[in-house]
Amino acid sequence: MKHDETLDALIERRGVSRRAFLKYASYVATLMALPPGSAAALAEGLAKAKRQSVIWLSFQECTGCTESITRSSSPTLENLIFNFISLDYHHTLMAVSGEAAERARVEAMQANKGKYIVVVDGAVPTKDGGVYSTIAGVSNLQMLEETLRDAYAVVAVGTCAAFGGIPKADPNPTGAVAISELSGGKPLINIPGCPPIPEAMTGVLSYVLSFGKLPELDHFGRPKAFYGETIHDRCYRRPFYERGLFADGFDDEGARQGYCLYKLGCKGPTTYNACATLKWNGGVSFPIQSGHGCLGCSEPDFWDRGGFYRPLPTPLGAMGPALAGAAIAGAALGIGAAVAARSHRNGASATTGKDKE
Amino acid sequence: MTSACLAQQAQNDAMVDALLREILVGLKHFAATGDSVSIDLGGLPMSGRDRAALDVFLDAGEVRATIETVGRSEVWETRFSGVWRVRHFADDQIAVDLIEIAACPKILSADQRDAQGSARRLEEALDEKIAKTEISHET
Amino acid sequence: MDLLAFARGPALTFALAVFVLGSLWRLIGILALPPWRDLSPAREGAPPDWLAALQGIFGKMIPHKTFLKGGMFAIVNGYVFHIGLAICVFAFAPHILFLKSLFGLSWPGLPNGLVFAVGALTAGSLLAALAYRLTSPVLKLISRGDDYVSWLLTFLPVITGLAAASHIGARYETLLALHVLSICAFLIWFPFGKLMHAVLFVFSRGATGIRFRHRGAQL
Ligand code: SF4
Repeated sequence: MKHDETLDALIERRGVSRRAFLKYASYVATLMALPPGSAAALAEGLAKAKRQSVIWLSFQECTGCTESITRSSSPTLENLIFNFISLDYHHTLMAVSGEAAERARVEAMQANKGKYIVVVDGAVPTKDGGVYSTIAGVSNLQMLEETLRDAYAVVAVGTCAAFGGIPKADPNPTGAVAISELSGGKPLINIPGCPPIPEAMTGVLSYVLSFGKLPELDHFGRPKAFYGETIHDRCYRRPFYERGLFADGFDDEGARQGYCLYKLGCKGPTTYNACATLKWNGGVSFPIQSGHGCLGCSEPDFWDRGGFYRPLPTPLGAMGPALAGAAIAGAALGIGAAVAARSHRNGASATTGKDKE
Repeated sequence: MTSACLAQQAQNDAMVDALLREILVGLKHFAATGDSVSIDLGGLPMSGRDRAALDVFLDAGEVRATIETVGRSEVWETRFSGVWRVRHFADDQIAVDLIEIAACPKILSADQRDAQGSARRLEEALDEKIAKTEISHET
Repeated sequence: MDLLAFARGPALTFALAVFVLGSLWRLIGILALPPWRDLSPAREGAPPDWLAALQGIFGKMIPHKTFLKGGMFAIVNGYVFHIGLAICVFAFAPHILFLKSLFGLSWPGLPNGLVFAVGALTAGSLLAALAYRLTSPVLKLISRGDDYVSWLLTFLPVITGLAAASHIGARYETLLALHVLSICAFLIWFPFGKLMHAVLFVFSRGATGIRFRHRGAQL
């Protein structure tokens, strides 16, 4: 369907005042740490924007990302985004299915040519022509290509879409790849996480809607507003880390005291995400607050980084055989060198007839 | 209190003091020029205790209002005229916490375009009311 | 694979393997040489060999009066960065975790702030050592490429470690990767250059102790 009505007309029709925009805009500005005063500009932008057509494609994924965004805690403020976007296709959420669903996607694409945003969760299998994941007989690869052709931008939601995630984990049997490898130069925003923080998804969409441009991104295409700092940077257990107070087990005295979880494999220092500040379930808690180290789920290949409980400074991979081999070779070389020296010396003393020492 | 606690306390006060200083600068600026200033407390590393300390210090002044749109919001003037608190709630949790230094926080005043719409609605309602009374007079 | 995974994975494995191989090669190569025999009778009052060796090792740690005057700076500075390095390597919690993963042994660490301060001091001390080497005519004359390479490969882990700990210069994971890679370089160079003195000094001083004391020389 086509979306001609501006958002303020729509909001007015629903009997809500422009205060709602301002309030929502302050919320997004807070989330994204936008400079003071941008809330007003954001509200203006939103009011003038048209309802944004969104086509949501789900590929190799677990639906956790959809769960995350649809469960954003408040039924009012945070969910206001669903008034601003029109989810024209989302095969998990939409009422129709089969033929009708696919038709809705094609119709939305035609009606909003060049303007719709494609949200993707899940990686795309590319091996064997992409047969490992199909929807209505169409491979994910093909559907992505087709849908992206006339899209304005693509948002890769979740680590699978952003970096390949679990489908791409070693040995990657389906040849799964991240959306960035297939986006063909379309503007791309990665919102990784397993799942991503709902506020990161809604915040970014609102930003694009109001300002008509992508937010500032880091080198992995992640919005800096949410992925600009590491978990460790903003972790409330950080003072314990600095003082060298660590939990050695999940049930020891240190754990009870709430000490730093670094020794238990916390990946907070190398993980860029907003869990430590925005937290989860409406600000209730986040993994570290619940006593478990960060898994690093918003980083590429988090699944293949030597195990969740392996402390960050330890070597990856099995050292044993390499070191044992090196030790044997070293010892052999050493003995060889000594033997050579002895025979050289013996040879020398035989020819000169006296010991040089 | 242990020394660690005392150190923590000093650190907390430092946070609040720095913020109050920023508010003072903003208030002086507003008093001189009339330009409003907004400070977002959300981005600051404030603990619950910091927030409480700030609330106690700024206290409440003459105005207090509640806004009911897409959830509840509370607005009140602090004991320092021109310094306002704006708090939006989501699920009874603070979602946005602002300090606004202005004649009146923007969210309180009605938008002109909203007024256009409401003028229309008022007119309709009035017409309806008059029509109704006319009908009742006739009978 | 990103830089950090490369550093922690293949690079570190390779470097440690070279380190073990090279160190054992040199050490066993030296220790398996035929024992040096002094056929002369020991001087009267000469201590047994083991004691002489200990005297050689520890006695030399405090320099002779004659050298104290002129070389005070080099001696004190040498102590500063050696002890500093030891503290940084063995008392920083992440390093202890690293060593534990290799040897299975663990011990309590020092607070990060303290280790950081020691690290900064060590870096300064290493720079001073280089400056001294470059300005002292004698030292300059006897310095070879090996000395400078060994200095650099000691300095790099310290400076990258400080940068990583303070998040200065680049993103933390990049700094950490560079730190690990600098250690890889250190480990690879260790057995083949003068860094090997960290192991060999015990044997050379011990041997010197035995020979000197055997001949009745004081240490
Ligand atoms: S728990 Fe993790 S993120 Fe928090 S301080 Fe410790 S290492 Fe850093």
